[in-house]
Amino acid sequence: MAVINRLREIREAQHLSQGQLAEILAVSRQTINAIETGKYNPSLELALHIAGYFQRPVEEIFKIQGGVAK
Amino acid sequence: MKKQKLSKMQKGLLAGWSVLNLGIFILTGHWLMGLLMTVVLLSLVALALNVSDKMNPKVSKFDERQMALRTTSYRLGLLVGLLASVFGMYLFAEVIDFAYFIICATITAVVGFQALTGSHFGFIEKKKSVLSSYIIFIILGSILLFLYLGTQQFMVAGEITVDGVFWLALAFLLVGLCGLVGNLKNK
Repeated sequence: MAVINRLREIREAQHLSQGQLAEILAVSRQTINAIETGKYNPSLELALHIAGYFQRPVEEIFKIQGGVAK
Repeated sequence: MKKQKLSKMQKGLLAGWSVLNLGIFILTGHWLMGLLMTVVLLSLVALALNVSDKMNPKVSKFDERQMALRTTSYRLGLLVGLLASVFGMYLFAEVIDFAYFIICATITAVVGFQALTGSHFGFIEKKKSVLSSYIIFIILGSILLFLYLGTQQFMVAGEITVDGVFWLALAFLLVGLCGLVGNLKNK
């Protein structure tokens, strides 16, 4: 089950660069880039930090492709 | 920053070991050797404490993705070391050169992978200093390899005869190149 995200879209809407967001979240710019391109799934802790910063629910930013298991 | 500290028991053991070590070497008339051994051991303990400080995620300068990549690099190093020791067993003329080869192959795999994936240096390090470190590695490796040209035969009678410094120089060069490629890739 692949995780997809809207991080790039949300970040760009806030006029933030990858480097700026990386600095806010105390991670590398490459990590932000890897998350946005789907090469890396963040830990729950980082996902919560991202959601908290953008003041959105986690599931609005990160989703499981094809929906969650029921 | 929370620093790792030794427990009372560990301090006692370390002090006991240092006194015993010095005592034995003084009795055998090699006090300088004993002193050196003690200094080396204490430096290693200090280094281990420093490393464990850096491994603490709360004070770490590596982010979670970098930590995951570093874990992968150590696994890769173990695999490369194992393969080098199995397949290189009968290729070397001298056992010591074979040992150097395994050490350098393992170090190259670990540090090279980290350099390639941008997880060798923490993300707070300046890009310029990271790049200059890799350039120094390349220059050092190239100079050493250049100085080696023609001084030794690589193979004699089907066995590798080149000595350990060659593998070290090659490791320097490869790590530097991996770092350079990693930097260009992440631009």
